[in-house]
Amino acid sequence: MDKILLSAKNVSSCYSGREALHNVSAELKGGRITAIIGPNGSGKSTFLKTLIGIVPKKEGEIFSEGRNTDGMSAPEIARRIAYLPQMKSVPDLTVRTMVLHGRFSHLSYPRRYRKEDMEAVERAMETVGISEYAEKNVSSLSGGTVQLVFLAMALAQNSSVILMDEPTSFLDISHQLNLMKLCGSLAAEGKAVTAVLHDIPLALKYADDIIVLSGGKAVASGTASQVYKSGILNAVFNAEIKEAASESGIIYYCQ
Amino acid sequence: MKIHKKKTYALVISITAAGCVFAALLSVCVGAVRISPLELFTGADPVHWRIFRYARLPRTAACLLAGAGLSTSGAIIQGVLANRLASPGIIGVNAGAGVGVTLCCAFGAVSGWAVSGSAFLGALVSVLAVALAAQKTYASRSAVILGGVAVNSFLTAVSVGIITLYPEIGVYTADFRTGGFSGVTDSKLIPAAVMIIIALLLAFTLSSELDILSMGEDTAQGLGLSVKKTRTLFLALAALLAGASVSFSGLLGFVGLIVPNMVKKLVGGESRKLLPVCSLGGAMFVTLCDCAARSLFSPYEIPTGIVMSAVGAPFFIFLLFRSKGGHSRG
Repeated sequence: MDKILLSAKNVSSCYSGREALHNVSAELKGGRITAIIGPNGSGKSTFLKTLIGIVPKKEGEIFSEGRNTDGMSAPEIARRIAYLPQMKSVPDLTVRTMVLHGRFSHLSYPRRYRKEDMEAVERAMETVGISEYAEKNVSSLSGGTVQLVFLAMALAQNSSVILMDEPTSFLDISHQLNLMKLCGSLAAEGKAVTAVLHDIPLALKYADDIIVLSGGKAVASGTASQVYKSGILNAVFNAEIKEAASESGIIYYCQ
Repeated sequence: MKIHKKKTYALVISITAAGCVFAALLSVCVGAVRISPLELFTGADPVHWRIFRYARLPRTAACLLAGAGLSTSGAIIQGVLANRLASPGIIGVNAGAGVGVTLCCAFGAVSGWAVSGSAFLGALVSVLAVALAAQKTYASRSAVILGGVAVNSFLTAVSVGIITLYPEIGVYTADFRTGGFSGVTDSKLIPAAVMIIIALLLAFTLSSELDILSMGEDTAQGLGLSVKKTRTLFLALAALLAGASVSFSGLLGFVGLIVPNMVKKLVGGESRKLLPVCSLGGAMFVTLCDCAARSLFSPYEIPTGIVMSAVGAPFFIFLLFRSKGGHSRG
């Protein structure tokens, strides 16, 4: 059975003064891709921000590999959970320097990077396939490549959990598919890969587990197949989501 | 490629360091009385020696320190606000320091730690006000600049109000408002120098934190940075650098804007490289401007701020029209 690497128990939190998450419980398992889906304003981004501690929780508990995250320092949380926000400010740095900042939580003041940090950076760039851009300025790269640089930075954190907020937004279809395949290989290494996704067919095809949020509540969770068969998606999204057999397996589409 | 970039950085920092030494030597030699560099070592003429020790040396040190302080302060503020148009002169940090100096003098202290400390507090209050307002209102980059301009205007009015009520205190003069180094003394300079040197050394050791902060709050926290504490620390450092500089140099504009932007073009935005080159480049730029201010119309002297503004204003306009807004991507 896959190990639970991060879990939320009855978590509630507020965003901009109103309750955005209500009594949400979820488990993120190693070796699996978990997609978090839901309509706009359902609390998906707030859920990720609450897990990482950016949005303080009002109630409930969060456990990282069995340890309560209350009282953990920001660097300790970062060593356990990497987070890629939706909106990112693209810095005026080279790709290598930016990925190197993924090692920040592993070092104490005055943060001198060691050989093992350099090696972790080279590995992370190689994994996502951006080694050739190592000396390029991040702001000179395309949106898809910038997304990969952020992912490499998260990988350099060497955490067991990766949370991504809409990683496929603004990417063309080829970059979207590449990114989801990359998520699959990271999950195969034993990481718990979690992504907020807007594209329901993409989520159903690539995710092992799905958590459906609506109105700040977790209204369904389970394997992709279980969630699809429950029919909850049609009700939540007010659309008809169907499956069809193809040469490459089952594909999903919206009507 | 990597080797090439390392060589470029080594070349830029060597040239700016050599430029600083050259500017400092020039600064102690030029003015109404010309002093030969050789005399500095032989001490042949006692009058020249006194001019060197009590006028030129403090003035040169003041130029170097104010240039390094204001440029580094500008680089820090631009990093924290992720806005290359921000600088201590534009968003009201210098004006806050000016209020601090004016208030301190109104209460009777005219030099020493009290003036430098008051300038720091004034700068700190204004930079925190602008940064906090920007954060709470999710202000756009242009709104932050406009808000800073309003804060600047308000604080200038406060200083002018104080000087109208207490004209006898003799600060916030035209020279102070323009910025210059003609009245620098050891007693004004030493406390500010200690503050600037400590703040510079601290800032150099926090370059990774500044890079990470410039990536945005959520990314920074995801990387394990305590965002609120670190942001406050950087704003305090920026206020310390700008406040201490203003306490003896007056309201020098543009140096905190143009030097970081020029240096970014040369060495990129990585703080580990940017901050040291900004310090050296700012020190060289201000010292050379001061040399020009003393020499252009010799034996008359014009405030250094005039020379700097004459260079800085066209550059600022150029920057405005080249700016393409933010570069946030989702």
